Amino acid sequence: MSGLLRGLIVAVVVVVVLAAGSLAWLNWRVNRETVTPLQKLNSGGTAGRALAVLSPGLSAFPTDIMTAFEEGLIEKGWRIDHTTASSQATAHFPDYDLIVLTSPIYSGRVAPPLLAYIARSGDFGGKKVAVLLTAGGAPDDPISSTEALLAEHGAQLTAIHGYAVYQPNDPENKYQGSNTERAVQMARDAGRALADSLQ
Amino acid sequence: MTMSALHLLPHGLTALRLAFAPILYQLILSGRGDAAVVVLAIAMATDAVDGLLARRFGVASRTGAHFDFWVDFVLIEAVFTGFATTGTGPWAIPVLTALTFAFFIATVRLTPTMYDPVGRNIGGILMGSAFAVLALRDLMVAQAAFLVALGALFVTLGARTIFLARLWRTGLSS
Repeated sequence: MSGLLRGLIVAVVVVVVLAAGSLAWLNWRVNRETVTPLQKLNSGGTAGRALAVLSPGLSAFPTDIMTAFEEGLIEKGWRIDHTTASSQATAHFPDYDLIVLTSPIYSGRVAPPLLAYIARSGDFGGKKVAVLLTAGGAPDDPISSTEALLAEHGAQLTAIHGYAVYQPNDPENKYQGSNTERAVQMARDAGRALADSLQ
Repeated sequence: MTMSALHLLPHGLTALRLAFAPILYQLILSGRGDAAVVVLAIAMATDAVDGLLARRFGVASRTGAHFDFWVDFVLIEAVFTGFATTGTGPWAIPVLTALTFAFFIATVRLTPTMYDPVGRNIGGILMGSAFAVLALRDLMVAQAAFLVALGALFVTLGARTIFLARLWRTGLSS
C-alpha cells in the first residue's frame, strides 16, 4: 500500500471517528433538558400575559428568535414569563393569555425537550398558542406536524413561524442584514403583529 | 484549444476557485444553501483536478502548489467565516484555520512535507465538512460537521506541535 493511500485511509478513519463521536454527543445534548428558573419580563405590562417556553438547542439562533418575538410582545405592553422546556417548567396555563413555544428542528422534528413538555402539559384547554421553529432547510413539514400535535392537545394555534438558516427567510427583501439577522427582525415583527391581533 | 492554453488550465481552475470565495461567503450570508452547495461542489472538483492536470501537462511547480495552498485557505476562511457571521457556526473554526495555515507556513522549512495524514488532507476535510452542512441543511448535522472540522484542526495542530517538539529535542541532544 502506498504511503499516500495509507495516509488517506488514516484521515478517513479519523474523520469517521470524529463524526460518530460528535453525533453521539450532540444526540445526548439535544435530548437533555435545560432547567432555568421562571424569568419575569416587563412585569408592569397590562396588555396580556404570555408564558414563553424555549427549547434552546445547540446554537444561539432559537434563543435569538424567541428573544426578538418577546421584544415584539413587550413593545405592545405584554407581560412575559420566560422559561425553558423541562420537567420543572410550569404547565399550569390558566393565568396566561398566550403560550409561546420555541424549538429548533433536528432531523425533521421538534427538539425532544419541547415534545416532552407538550406531552406533559396534556390538554391545553383551548389556550392560544404561538410556535416559533428554527431549521436548517425548509421548515414546512415540521410546521405541519407541530400543527397536528398541538391540535391533538387542544391548543388554539394563533401563529406558527419557521425560520431557516440555509434557506432565505425574506424572499421579498423587506429586511436588512444576513439571513439569520432578517429572521430575528421578522420574529420581532411577528410578536408585534400577534400582540395587535390579540387586542 | 492550443497546447499553451491547455497548460494554463490548471492555474485557471485554481484561479476560478479563488473567485468562488466571495461568492460562497455572500451565498451563505443570504441563506442560499442550495446555490452555495453547487458552487462549493464545483470548487472541490477544481481542487481535485488542478494538481492532476498540472502534473499531466508538466506544468506543476512550487509556485503553483503555493497558489493552490493559498486559494484553499481563502476559500475555507470565506465559507467558515460566513457560517460564523450568521451565528450558525463557531468563530473558532476560521480562527483555528488561520492559526493552522500560519503554523504550516512558519514551520514548512523544518517539516517540508505535510507528514501527518490529517494535516495532508485538512483542506479536503474542512471543505467536506462545509459541504455536509450545506448539502444536508440539518442543524444537528451542521453542528456535527463543525465539530469534525474543529477536531481535525486540533489533531493536525497537535501532531505538528509534537513533531516539532521531538525535532527540537533531537536537535538539542545531538
